[in-house]
Amino acid sequence: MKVEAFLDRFFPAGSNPLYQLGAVSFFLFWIIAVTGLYLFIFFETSITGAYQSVESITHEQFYIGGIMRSLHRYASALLALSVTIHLIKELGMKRFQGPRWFSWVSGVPLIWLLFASSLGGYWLVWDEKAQYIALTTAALFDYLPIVVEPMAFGFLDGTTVSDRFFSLLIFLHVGLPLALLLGMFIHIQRISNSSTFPARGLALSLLGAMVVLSVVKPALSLGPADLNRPVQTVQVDWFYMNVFPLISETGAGAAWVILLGITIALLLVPLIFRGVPKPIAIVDPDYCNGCSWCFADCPYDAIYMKPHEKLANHLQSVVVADKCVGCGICAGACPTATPFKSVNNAYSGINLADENNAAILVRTQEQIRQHPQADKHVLVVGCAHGPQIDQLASDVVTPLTLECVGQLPPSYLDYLCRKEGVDSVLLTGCAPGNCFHRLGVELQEARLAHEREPHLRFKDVHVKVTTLWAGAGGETTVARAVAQLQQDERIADAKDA
Amino acid sequence: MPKMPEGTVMQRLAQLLFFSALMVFAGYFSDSPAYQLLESGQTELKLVVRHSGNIIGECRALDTGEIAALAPNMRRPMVCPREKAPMRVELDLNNKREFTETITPSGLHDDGVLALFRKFTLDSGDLILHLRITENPDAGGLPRDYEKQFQVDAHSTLIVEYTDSGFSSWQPQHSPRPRL
Ligand code: HEM
Repeated sequence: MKVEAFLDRFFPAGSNPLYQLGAVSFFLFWIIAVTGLYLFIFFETSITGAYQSVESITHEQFYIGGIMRSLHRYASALLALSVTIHLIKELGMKRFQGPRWFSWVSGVPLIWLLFASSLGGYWLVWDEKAQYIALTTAALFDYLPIVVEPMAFGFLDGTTVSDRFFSLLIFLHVGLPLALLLGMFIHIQRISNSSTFPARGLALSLLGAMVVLSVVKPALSLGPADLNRPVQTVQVDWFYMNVFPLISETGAGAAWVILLGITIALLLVPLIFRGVPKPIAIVDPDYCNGCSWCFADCPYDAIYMKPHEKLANHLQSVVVADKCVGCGICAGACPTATPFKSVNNAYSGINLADENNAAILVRTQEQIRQHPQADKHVLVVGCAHGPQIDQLASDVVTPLTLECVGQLPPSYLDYLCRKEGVDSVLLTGCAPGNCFHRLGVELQEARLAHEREPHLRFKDVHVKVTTLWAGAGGETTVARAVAQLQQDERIADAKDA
Repeated sequence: MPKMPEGTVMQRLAQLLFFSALMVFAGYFSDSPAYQLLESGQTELKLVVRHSGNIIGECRALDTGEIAALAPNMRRPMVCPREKAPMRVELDLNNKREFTETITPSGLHDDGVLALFRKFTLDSGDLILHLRITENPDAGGLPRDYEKQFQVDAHSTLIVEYTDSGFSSWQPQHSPRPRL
């Protein structure tokens, strides 16, 4: 969290790399795919040809082939890094609870596919590093009791490897990344509007930086593989070959314990840290008018539309309970939530099961009315995952904590400012780009800015609303902003007087 | 924490610093530090067993009752066991016991091949190698021995193998290929 806030200081809004690690990972994957395709054109699938062809790509066409090769290697290294930090971050944010287990669990096999893809690439070069990787991979798999003929027999000496083997390797080094890509798409199936491309500035900077690195320190081969003698010293790619020295030192058993241990531990995370199930969204057909705005806003693809039960020629929203995380963003998107309508007391078409929109409004109204000097009131709206705001409650400050800021129907701000005398509103929550519920901050900003339905209606209310996406731990920043707002109010009052 | 004003030189410099640090990290750890597998003067021995194994037990004639109990398409006069004997492998290097293991045939019914691969690191120089293979050691199988002296170079490979056709050993020659 500290690191994220630190990077926030010098990255323009929306381009902090720590907030788009998934998208950065996709971007790196595409760089690897394109550069890999280039290398593939010149690669020769034979024992002697493999090494020679990679050497000639590197040295004879250093200006393009060499850079392509280096980009291929460094993008892979950075991919391992970004995936690792992505994992740690999602773990830290507990974004694996409830229906979100799917993204987590489907992420785990991606690690294996990523490692297999990358190591397969090193294998193709058929230099001493490839020899080391081949023999150590063989040792790893030969440890398994299911093995009939040890893989190591294939690498006994220089006579045992054939050209056909390289055709198999190429097949694997194309097939495994394709499987990885498929896995990546499955990984983001359960969420909508997933960001699979990083902010442009970030993407360009990253690509530029990698090109510079490729020129300064081109990726090179070691000496050619020679199975007739052992490898003495090997340069290790610590991003991918990290368990290999362990296999060499202690045998494959320890490596299997660690690899399977980590994999199983990761798979069990959503089961062990299950958390309290959150109340999910419920559609009330009496009030749902079939506008589809909740369907458009749901970050988890948990809503679909069907023909309306009660209204002819209308649609009606349906919540898929297995996918609903209970963020409430749909409730904030519901236009029937408006308190201005006379007929039905602000009842709305879609609500969170524990507290419906109308109840939230009543609760807030009551809090504001408790204080007679309500005309100088600051309303602070926050979320369960950003800065805590309850401690700000006072005669003149009313905090309203929701599951997500996206849960707030903008019409409530119109209403509370116009009818209940709220003088200013501060919306706070997760840092921009880092919303716990993925899209809440973004969607609410768009609603306030008139860019998305349902929008904030009144200009005079619009000027009273400030946003401060301070992120978890940003209590002091929020407190300072609230104090500032109160002071502004007093100055305005003094002027009026 | 105060945010730097966007688009300023300071912000750009900070980003430059960030990406440089990232690239130094990626550039360094993608091939360093190196890992040393063999110290100078050390060399490698590969021990290989690949043997189709020997079946334990004899074929036996079935009596009429047993034949009748079989499915019609499976009826036959004799049954032969498929299970093969395990094999003890013992390796001495310079008259010191280096390795002992009893290997079992692969396959669910112990009817597959016997295979073993082990790699040892040794010091170069004179080597007396003694490999002893005992088939079906628990049932009193007799050992077969292979003893040989070698002069092993540093940074080379020595392979010793036991297969269906007996023992063999060889030291493949390093075949330098030209680098471009
Ligand atoms: C090649 C590897 C990976 C790629 C390319 C990748 C990509 C992505 C992308 C694009 C997102 C969506 C971000 C968004 O729009 O909010 C995402 C979300 C996520 N990923 Fe990954 N990921 C990878 C590996 C992993 C791994 C290894 C894990 C953990 C085991 C993981 C866990 C998650 C979780 C929990 C989410 C959040 C889903 C949610 O917000 O409900 N990912 N990933």
